[in-house]
Amino acid sequence: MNVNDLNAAEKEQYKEVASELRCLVCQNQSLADSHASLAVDLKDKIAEQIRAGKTNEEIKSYMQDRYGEFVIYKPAYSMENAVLWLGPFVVLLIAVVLARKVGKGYKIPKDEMPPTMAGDSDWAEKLYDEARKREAKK
Amino acid sequence: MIKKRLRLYLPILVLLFLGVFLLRGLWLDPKKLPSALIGKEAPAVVLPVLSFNGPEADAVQIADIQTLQSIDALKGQPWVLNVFASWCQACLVEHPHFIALAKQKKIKLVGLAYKDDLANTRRWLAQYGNPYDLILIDQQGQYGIELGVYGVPETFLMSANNTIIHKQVGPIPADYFDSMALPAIEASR
Repeated sequence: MNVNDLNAAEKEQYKEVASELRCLVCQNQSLADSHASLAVDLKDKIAEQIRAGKTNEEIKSYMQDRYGEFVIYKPAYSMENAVLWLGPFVVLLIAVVLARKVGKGYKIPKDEMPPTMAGDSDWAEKLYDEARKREAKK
Repeated sequence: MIKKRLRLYLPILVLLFLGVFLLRGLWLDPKKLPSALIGKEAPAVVLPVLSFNGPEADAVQIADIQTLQSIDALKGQPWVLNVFASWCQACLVEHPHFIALAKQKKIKLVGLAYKDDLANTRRWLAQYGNPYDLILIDQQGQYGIELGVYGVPETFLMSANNTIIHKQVGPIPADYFDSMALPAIEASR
């Protein structure tokens, strides 16, 4: 039994499951992409189980029971891989805290400030008026 | 002042820290997978037995499907299941070790002819010697899937009540029995 024996709806499910499982022989391919002999066998197994009415979760746990968590492309959250799931957020938090701390004490020197910040609130209007006056004189 | 110095070295410290992680990665083997089945019972099925009684069996070609062996019936003493095939190059690497182990008669050796042409299996065994007490046939690789086999050779060690207690992926070392099998058997008692 293989994918060609499945109907359209079953084929959809098949594609979904096969793309979420890793090929063990060529580890950077999904089962769906792989033509390795073992991958073909496993895909036939998936087709068989879909025909038998198994859900995606049931099929994935069937594979996981035999080949380990490694076959699942998106591993479940656990203590062992918590660093991978949470690490990026921790780094982001550190970055935000550092940025705030570094920014807090910093004062822009008066001569580096934009004029509007240094108290000249209608700086732009004045420039505009001056330019118009110069134009009018010409 | 000291604080400023520290800040100067901070990027280097972070880099070193990362370096340690990446360096470790160089020695990790991503191909080495932990077996999901350690501690579980060997999947119980009934498999056909390969008829092989020495070189002359090559010519006999008895219908192998007639003799069946249930995995369950192998309970009673620890045994080794070696997944092999005549097309497998790495199997030749470990083959002398199995021949030696068979001579010592320390443990029951069961071979699983994995996705192999039976005539080829026989020829292979006739040429290199048969270390197995029993040879089972898995022509479609279905039992292999049940066992989580993803490459040949793989060697499973079963306890007396058929619990999988050790798995070797790839050729077994020369001291397999003493360094791997025996400790695992001791630990499972």
